[in-house]
Amino acid sequence: MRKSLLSFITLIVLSFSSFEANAQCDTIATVCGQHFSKAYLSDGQEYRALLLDDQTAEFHLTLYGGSVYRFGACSGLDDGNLYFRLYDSQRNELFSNQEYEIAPYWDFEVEHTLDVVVEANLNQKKASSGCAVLLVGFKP
Amino acid sequence: MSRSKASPSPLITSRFFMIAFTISTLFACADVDKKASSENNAETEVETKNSNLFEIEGKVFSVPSPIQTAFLLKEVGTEFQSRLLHNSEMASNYNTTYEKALNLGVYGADLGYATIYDQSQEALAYMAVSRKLTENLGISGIYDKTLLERFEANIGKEDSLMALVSDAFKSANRYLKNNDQEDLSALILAGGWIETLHFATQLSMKNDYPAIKNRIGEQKITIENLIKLLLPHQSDQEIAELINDLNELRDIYAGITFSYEFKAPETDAEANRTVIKSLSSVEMTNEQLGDITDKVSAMRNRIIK
Repeated sequence: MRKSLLSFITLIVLSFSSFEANAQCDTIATVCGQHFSKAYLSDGQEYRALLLDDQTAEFHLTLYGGSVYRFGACSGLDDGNLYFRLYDSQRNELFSNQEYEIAPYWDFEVEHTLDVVVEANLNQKKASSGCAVLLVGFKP
Repeated sequence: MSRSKASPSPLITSRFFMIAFTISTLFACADVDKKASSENNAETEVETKNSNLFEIEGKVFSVPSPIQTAFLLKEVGTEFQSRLLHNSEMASNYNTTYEKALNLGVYGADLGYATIYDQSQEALAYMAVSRKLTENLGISGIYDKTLLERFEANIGKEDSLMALVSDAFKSANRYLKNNDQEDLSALILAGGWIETLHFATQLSMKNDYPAIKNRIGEQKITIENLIKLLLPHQSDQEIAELINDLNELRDIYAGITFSYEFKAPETDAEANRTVIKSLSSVEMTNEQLGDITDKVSAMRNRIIK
């Protein structure tokens, strides 16, 4: 009886936790989307990761030459909560928003096609845990 | 379909640790008659587990939107060709989740292609068929009546239509991630990628379009990400077969040279913009292009049959 009750409570809590985490990510993605004007089309995806402390999320993408992309990187409801860095496949750093006041979005004009890795981690001065969202748009 | 978690995405991995933490907490809380010293030990244990909460081990892989290559096809001057598109009336032939998800990706690419070329009737047909497949997959409310009405109201306004299509793709992606159906999300991306490569290879067979040929060659790097995206779900037999097919295509790509040279980027802080100046180039023979065309055609035929 006690075991059944415990299983039931576990199920309820797990469902709630998952719902809560998704709802948090959904809200952040919606807020982050405000950094994208109509000039940018979404790549159709939302890249997400739940982070704690100094953990780093890693996203692997291909950027096409002759294109202009906008990256939005958000956590929480305010700007400046998420550091993000862009590397090429040889781990050469192409950009870090830490050098630009933790900008929540940045544009990249890509001259030639390349594979990139985006690393994101929380600004621990502002948050110790949370959902990190990366959005990518391109100019048609 | 099975739900393999062999190499989970960060969100899934995080959920795992959150679940582990919650279960630990519940079991710790269950023994209410334990002595205070035992409670302290339990608290210590929970705190230790808590330090691993949301541990990130996974990496997220992705492929570009099929819409980007469809734009390139129009930019280089190719005409709209309905023969390249999948028959929208075949949607009811697909019975398994695997078939439905892959073909949703195929139809999504067709929808993007038709929209870019301002073929509103075709686009509406693909939107309707996408609605049917998403409903069959249990993804409700994405291609709903409101979206169809907004699409019809914006016919002739390519920018608005493309924004609607992209947002629909994103909504479907969000729904699947929220419902732990990343395998379906990966299959939709795979279907769209193969359909777009089908457009590009078929057009290159008839005429010499250097930009399209180059884009086909560039898929040498994208196919790696696509395979990595699917690998966590390879315990499903159908997905394993798709990965085998993609591996064979990758073997063909292995003979193609993709060169990359890092060049320092230039950043304009005031404009919030960085120009990535690194160089890359593709070397691909017509024979290799022919092999890729044949392989993509065979893969697509298996998907849409």
